[in-house]
Amino acid sequence: MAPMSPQAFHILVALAERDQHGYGIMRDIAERTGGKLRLSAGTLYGSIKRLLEDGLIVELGERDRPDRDGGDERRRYYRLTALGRKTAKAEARRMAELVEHARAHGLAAGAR
Amino acid sequence: MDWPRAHARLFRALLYCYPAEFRHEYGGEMERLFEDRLREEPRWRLWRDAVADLAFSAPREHASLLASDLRYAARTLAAAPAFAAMALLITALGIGATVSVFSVVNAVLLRSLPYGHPGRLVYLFSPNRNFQGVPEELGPNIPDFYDWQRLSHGFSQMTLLRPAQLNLVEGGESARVDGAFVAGNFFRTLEVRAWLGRTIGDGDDRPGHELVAVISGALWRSRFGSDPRIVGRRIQLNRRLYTIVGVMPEEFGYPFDGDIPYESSATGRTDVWLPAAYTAAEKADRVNFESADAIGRLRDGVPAPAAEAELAAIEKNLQPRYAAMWRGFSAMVRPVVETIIGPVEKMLWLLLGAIGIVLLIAVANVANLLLARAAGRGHEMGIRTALGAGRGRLVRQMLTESLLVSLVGGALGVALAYAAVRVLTRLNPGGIPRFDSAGVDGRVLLVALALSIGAGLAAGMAPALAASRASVNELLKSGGTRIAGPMHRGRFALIVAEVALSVVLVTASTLLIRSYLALTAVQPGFSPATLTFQVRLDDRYSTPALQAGFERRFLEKLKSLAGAGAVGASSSTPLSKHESVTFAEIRGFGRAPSAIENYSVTPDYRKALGVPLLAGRDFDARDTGTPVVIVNREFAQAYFAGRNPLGGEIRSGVGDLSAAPWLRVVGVIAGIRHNALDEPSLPLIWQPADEADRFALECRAPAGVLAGRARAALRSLDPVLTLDDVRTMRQRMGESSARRRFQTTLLTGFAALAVALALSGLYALMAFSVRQRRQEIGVRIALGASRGRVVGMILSQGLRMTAWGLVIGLAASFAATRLIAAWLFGVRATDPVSFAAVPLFVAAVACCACIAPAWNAARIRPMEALRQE
Repeated sequence: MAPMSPQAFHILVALAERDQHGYGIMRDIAERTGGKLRLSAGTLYGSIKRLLEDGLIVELGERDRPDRDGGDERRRYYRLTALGRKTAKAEARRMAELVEHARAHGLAAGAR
Repeated sequence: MDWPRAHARLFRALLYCYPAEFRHEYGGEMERLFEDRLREEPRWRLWRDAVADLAFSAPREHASLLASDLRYAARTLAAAPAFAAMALLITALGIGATVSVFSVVNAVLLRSLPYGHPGRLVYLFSPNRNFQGVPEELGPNIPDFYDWQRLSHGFSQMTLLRPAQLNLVEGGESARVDGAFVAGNFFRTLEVRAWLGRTIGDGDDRPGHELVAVISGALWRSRFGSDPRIVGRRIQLNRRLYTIVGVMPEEFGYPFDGDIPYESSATGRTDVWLPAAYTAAEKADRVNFESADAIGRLRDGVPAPAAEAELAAIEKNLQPRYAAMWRGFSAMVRPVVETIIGPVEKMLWLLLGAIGIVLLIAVANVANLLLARAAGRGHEMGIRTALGAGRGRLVRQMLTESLLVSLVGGALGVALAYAAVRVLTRLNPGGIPRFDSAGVDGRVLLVALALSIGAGLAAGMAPALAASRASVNELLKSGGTRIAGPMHRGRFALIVAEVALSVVLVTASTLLIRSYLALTAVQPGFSPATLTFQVRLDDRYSTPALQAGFERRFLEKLKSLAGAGAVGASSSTPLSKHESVTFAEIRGFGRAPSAIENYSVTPDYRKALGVPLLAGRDFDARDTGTPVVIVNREFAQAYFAGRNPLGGEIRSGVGDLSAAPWLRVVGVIAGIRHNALDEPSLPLIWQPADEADRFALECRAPAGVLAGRARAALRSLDPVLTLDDVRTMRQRMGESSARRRFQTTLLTGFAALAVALALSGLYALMAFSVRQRRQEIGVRIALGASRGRVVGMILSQGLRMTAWGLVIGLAASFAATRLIAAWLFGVRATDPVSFAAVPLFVAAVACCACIAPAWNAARIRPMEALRQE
């Protein structure tokens, strides 16, 4: 399987904690990256569409929508699937290993 | 104040850049996201992000949709290999053939000539208003040219050239090459540079400095082994030693055969350029003057008519310097590009138009196949619609399929064209400039791509719309058979169109074939078996006496050759692109209103050429120098109408004839097609001579053997000279009709292709229709319809389409054949035989296409057909 795009990975991470709608995902990512990565609509929903097609996330039906923070009726909410969680973990591991390698060669801070 | 609503509305409009499906699914969400950010973020950053995002993600969504459509299309095509193969074959044939013809059009008409700014180059002619019947495209007289050059202002350059055949002696072998003597500014005028060394320059055309030569890239390769140190080498041309100063680029070979009106070359291109060095006396001599071909480069902003008016005014002032009989020269300026391609332009566009029709038929055929398939896929479409695929989505899917077919077919077609162009260039009829350079280049590929896309869209549009129009309910209920109705009408119309288009092509090619047959039946006025050739003497034979002496000796040698019958010589051979005209006055008639052909011939020439003698006698050896003349039938009919031409008197020459001697007519010969087989014989006179440089031999041995013996005879007299232009008259007739044969062959091939495509379409539709109506036919048979009746029913269905196609096609032909009227010979554009034969032929082959499906229909067993219900 081809490596996951950074946007897709960010979306999976944003959904790992709780089910969210598109705007929530976008804000989550923006906060986490200190405002450096702000997904615009086309890229965000393009990625969501592919994640849906690959079965890594699902869209929530009416009943499953969270009520907290006044869950907006009109919005679509997404949830990480088991496969999505597994895939995100594998991707995280791959990236961690990559960072390890970089560290071993003095390319990244925080040597053991 | 800011307008959040306006921002949101603008964003919503931009969403139309995305595929409809994506927009419907996520458009609302995307808008909301945008509005959320609108509340929190600075506008400039929001828009910067949004535009960048759109530029990246919209194409990406389209591409991903296309990829999935292509995958789906490839899968469905792979599942129907017979359909796919058929559609690909038809598309490849249609596009391949069109691209091949286009590559010729591209080479001859569209690719710019290899000269700088060819649009500003003009030919300078000097017609004489007193020379009736003489072509207007005559080069200027040399003294006039130099005065034009000195006195005119409308040209930035003006140069002259004189094509000539040169005898090249290299490594002990002598060979004939086509060359041109050119003024020092020739290459500057054409704006071309040497590839190696330099071109002929301003100093080279002064007498005493003219022994330099520029050779073509082709000659450099073939004769000099691409020697990089060729510059400075000396070569022997026409017994003089020239120093090679430069080699031209490969594509430069001006003048090519056909580039200059009324000039012809043996090899088709020019290989050697030498300076034309005229002395000051020659540049001013209006008593013994020669003419040459002239080219001018118009100054920017000067139109050709203005330049022509200027030269004509200059020329008018020069007339008093001529003797009275010559006066009347003027000036004519014609664009070089138009002059070169003019004679073949119409023919090539015609061929391109014809092949365009074939392509249209091919497209209709593919559309037909797609329609038939769509009918079979009604159920699939119904299910996809039921699953939520929009109408636009289905159209897009169907178009992707037909585009996939047309693009792959187009690629195959280009591969086909690579091979076909090679065959086409081998059919070169001669006289079409740069025909040989036809090939597949960038522009041809671009056209192939455009044609493929156009063909895909055209073929896919009808089935796509038909399929998407059907309602889900009906589709699912009927299992797809219901959409056969509207589709059937579409297919009916397509077949009618195909038949109509092919009728146009068949009619046109029938007319051309009948013209060609009429041409081959022409009585040329000479015997096709006669062997002819020419001997060009070089500078050693510097006086008329030396030339005449040699020619007489050679003629005697030829007469003694084994296998030679009558042997003669003349100043011109028929169909050799060479003619000579003069003016005449006839006692009892007055001055002939138009120029007449005028040749000198030796006593046995008539017998050697096989021209029938209608009255009187041949020349004999005592006639030379005496005032006798032989005329042809056309002359006798025009100027001795109602009188006996024998004993009649003629005097001939240019200008004032009052001092010319009267010549007595001693014989009348048949008409001779001197210039072309399809041009009528003109009034002609023969004057007696002892010798001439063009020979004719009546063959009593094979022509090839006799030519060998003639060569040996020439060698025994002078080992340096060569026999030139060796051809039987039959070969000359073949060359004279080559262009006609070329266009007839191609057009007939296209017509055959068109008929094959149209009829395979008809066959496919009939076979399909019989399959669809299986149950209905089964019921009819069960109810007592005889097999003959079933056959008749299916046949009449097919023939009804054919009849409609014939009616429309014949009406269109009636209009279209006017376009080819100029190429017809011996038949009229409304030739009743052709217009009767074509419908019969088309109806007959249409019957053949329908008979198998009709037969299958008749063999349907009612029980089996009904059981399938």
